[in-house]
Amino acid sequence: MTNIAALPTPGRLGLARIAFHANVGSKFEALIPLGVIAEIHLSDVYGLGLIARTSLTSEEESVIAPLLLEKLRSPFDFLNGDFEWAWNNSQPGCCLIELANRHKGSLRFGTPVSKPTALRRSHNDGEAMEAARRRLLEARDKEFWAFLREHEDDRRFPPNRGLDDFQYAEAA
Amino acid sequence: MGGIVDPSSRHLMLVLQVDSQSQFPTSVLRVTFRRFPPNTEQLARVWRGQAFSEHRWLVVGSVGAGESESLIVQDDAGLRAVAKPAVDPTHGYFRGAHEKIAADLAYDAGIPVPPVVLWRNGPGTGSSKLYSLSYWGGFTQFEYWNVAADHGLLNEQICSSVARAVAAIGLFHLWISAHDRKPEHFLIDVQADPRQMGIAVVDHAFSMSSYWKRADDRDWPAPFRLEGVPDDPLGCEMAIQAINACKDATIHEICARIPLEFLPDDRRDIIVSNLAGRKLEIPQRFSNARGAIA
Repeated sequence: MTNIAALPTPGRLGLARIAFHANVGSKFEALIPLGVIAEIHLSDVYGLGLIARTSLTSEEESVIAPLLLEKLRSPFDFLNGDFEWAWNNSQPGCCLIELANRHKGSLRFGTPVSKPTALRRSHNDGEAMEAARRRLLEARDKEFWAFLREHEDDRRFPPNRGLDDFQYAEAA
Repeated sequence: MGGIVDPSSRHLMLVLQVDSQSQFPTSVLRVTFRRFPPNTEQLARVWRGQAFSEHRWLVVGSVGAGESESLIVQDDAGLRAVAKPAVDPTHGYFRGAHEKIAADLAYDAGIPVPPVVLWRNGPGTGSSKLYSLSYWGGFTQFEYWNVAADHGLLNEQICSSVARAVAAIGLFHLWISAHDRKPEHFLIDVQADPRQMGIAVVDHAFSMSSYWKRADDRDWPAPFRLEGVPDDPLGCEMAIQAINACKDATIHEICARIPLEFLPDDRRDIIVSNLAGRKLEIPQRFSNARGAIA
């Protein structure tokens, strides 16, 4: 008797939250959620995804230093530069780590949380890419909404919630 | 009073000192290159006066994702600091002691290094429980120099306004043999007026006894430039005076209180001897490398 099974292709899916910290040295700081970046890396499939807000509320703008605010008024446009930088300069699987090490100031990419993921090996190349893409985007968006929800009760800085207020970037 | 005075007077600070022989404080005009907010300077005064923090610190996160294993810690009052492992017995690195000594010397010499204190009860066992705590960034809102440059936040005005402090940092780094210098170790206060921009330098783990192997070691780091920042010879002269004003007894006091588990006796002796000897040679080093120190 023979049993044959298609083993899943193992890999990792990482997520990192992006936020502005208005008072880095204090527990009582205002934290402004800006976006989430996600990275998926399987043996021969690699993808990076960003979701970020396109604007800030006036309350949020009022606590950001003028020097940074000029650039950060549209978080997506600002973060998209880092997305491109990471895509062009990092090894597959290392983007989130490099971004977290680079952005440790008031604008911070959080320490990435990574978990194992797998795709069925029976996928052809195109199917594998599409399956990885769907998994990346689903995880990215879920994390983003969770991030916003966690700060929903922060009455000082209610994040924008309209779908039109977010923008997405993907690379694979 | 003799010495060099900054014509802009923005680098002079009135300091009240209490002499151990007198019950009355005396005021001293001291050069400073620090532009930290008042709460940071208040903390710096407290941490300069103690080797250890007796506060209860709770780990609330990690910084970046690097190999330094830096943690974000928070005390009961909500103060947040970066905790870094102090000792690496495998390689014989005494990073925490270097960070603490550098921050205390910098406080006395007016060099912008955020305050540092030692922590004995961090997570881990044995020597891995030992950490240095650095008040995170020193500024309420800050950005790293390299990131600020890449994002177009810097301009000529900002570069000029930090030139004096950067020149002073360069001399300080000569003194303590700080070799690990890069734009990623410089922070700017993004809330400041660009004409009076605050700058700070962090990470002195690899300095002093990381390179000094004997009492009269004369290892000098190569000049380092922060791109875009003009030279400031007056800033260098002022820093030389500030460094030379650090008395040998003060150097000894700063180093002697670091306990054995953070810094072995032989290393401490080497550090004290070199700091005392090297500060006298800095003017000569400066004249040899004039205009190229940062």
